[in-house]
Parts: sequence; C-alpha cells; structure tokens
Amino acid sequence: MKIIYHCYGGAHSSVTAASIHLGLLPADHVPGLKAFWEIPFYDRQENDEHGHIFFMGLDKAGNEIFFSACRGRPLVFENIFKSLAGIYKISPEEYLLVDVMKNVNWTMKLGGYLSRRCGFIRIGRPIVTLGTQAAYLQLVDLVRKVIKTIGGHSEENIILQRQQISSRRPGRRNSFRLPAGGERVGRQRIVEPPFYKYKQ
Amino acid sequence: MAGSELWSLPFININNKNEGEIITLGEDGQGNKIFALSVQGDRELINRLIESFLSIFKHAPDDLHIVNIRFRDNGFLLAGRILCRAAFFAPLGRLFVLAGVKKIYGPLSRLVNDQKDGKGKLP
Repeated sequence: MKIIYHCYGGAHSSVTAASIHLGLLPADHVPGLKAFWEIPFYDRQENDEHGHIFFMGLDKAGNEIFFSACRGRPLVFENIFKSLAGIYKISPEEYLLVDVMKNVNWTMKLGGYLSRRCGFIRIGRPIVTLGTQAAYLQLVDLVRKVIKTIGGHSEENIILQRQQISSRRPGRRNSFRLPAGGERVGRQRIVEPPFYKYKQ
Repeated sequence: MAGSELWSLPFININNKNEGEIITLGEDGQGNKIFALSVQGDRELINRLIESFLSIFKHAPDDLHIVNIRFRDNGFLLAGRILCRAAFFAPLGRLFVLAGVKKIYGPLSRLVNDQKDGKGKLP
C-alpha cells in the first residue's frame, strides 16, 4: 500500500508524520530540535517542488510512505489523485491519502512562512520546529489512526529503506525526479507550452 | 454551437467542490480516451502531481498527454460566471457564457485539430 501524507508545503507536518510512521521519530515522547533537523526532508522542500510526491521509505509492513505538498488545496489534490486512480483502475485499497494540514498550528505556519517563503531559515526553522513540537502528539495520534486503518502493525516501525542524502541539497536524491527548473529554486516565471508531454 | 448543446456538456456545470475531478468525455476516432480537468492556479503543481502519480504506480509517462488550454476567460465568460452565482441572474449569465465560448470557439477548435493532426507543439 502507498501512504501519502500531504500538507501545504510538504516540508514540516507531512514530513514529521511520515517520519513518525517510519520510526525515524519516537512515538512516545516529543523529540528535541536537533532530532527534527536530522530528518532528511525536514524544512527542505522548495516552492518549485510542490505537487511532486516524494518517497520517504518502507515501513515494517512493507507499505510505501510518501509525502507531498498541495499548497492549501487538499481537496483538489485528492480529487486529481483519486480520478487518476480511477482512470488507471487502481483500487482504493492500494493507496491512502492523509491530510496532515489539520494538525498544523500558527507557530508552524509562521515559522514555515519565514523559512520556506521568505528564506529566513535561521529565524524560521527554530520557530517552525517549536510549532512542530507543540503539534507532535497530535501528529503521533494521526499516525496511530493511519496505522490502525491500514491493518495495524506494531508501532515499533523501523525504516527498511533509507538512501544516502546529499548534505548540500537534502531530499533530492530520494526523489523520482529533479524539481522543475533543474537546480534553480524560488519563484520563476513559467511559460507553458500549449501541449505538455511527460518526459522521464 | 447551440446553447442546449453547450449546457449538455458535463464539464460546463462543474462547481468548486469537485474541482480537480477528471471527467471522462469519451473516445476519439483513433481510440484515444479523452478527459477534461479544470484547476485554478498553478498548473505546474498539477503537472508534477500527475507525473509523480504515473511514476509511483509505474505507468509509462507517454500514457497520458496533457493539453493546456491556455485561453484566458474573456469578458463575457467572466461576466457570465459572476451572474450565474445568483439564481435570479443565471439565465442572463448563461447567455454571457455562451457568447464567451463562441468568441474563443474558433481558436479552440484549431488547437484541438492541431492535436489530432499531431501538429501540437511539444516542449
């Protein structure tokens, strides 16, 4: 089964939930700031990667754990995903979309805005991490519900698959593709062709 | 195109709640399945989502082609959309929408014919 945690920017709450699911973060207590910062994808995703579904790892039961960003439009995200699943005749039992945005507090929003949108990482990252700590137990509850929903395996999940992450651009190596616009980040003008053909 | 033909299309009556739903419209002469998707805002995000979907479920990227209908809403369409929000003005709004669609119908059908003939611009 593919489990996709999604939130606004795919940088904090969804990454934290996916990490709890995989056992990268403890489920019994709130970890310290550094524990969050050591997570490969935490506070990393850029605007030009939103929408891309990142693979994070396999849980003990063999479920594939992903996370993504839907920019505050979870309904559109879910509608498109479910429609595509319908077109390709993928059974609803094969995937689970989990909206983590409901557990995001204002501290996380402020810190996330400063760090991701404004680029003030030194100020924003500690703030968003404090917010994540405040929302942590709610995220643990959410993950417990997800695990219960998918058939309930042990909470003592271990990560079975973890790839090497670049220290300069964390997160990119685990992706199926590079972000749009190559190595450039931030706002860019996108001139779309009238005909879009997917390329690998 | 008559008004009744336009309003019988499934896509024309879509509301905000089912934004993002992909509507199956049928098959063309070559057996290609035709779908319609209406999403406001950043289309790159949607492209990335679809591309990722195909990737994680191991479907060929060539399986799906997205044609971006780049025509912006003209004045008639905008006015029609606003008027259709109020039930009282909806009939008038529909007239505006019809006029708006008629205005872009020529270039729209040229775009569709180009795609059918394989003349669509590739990135």
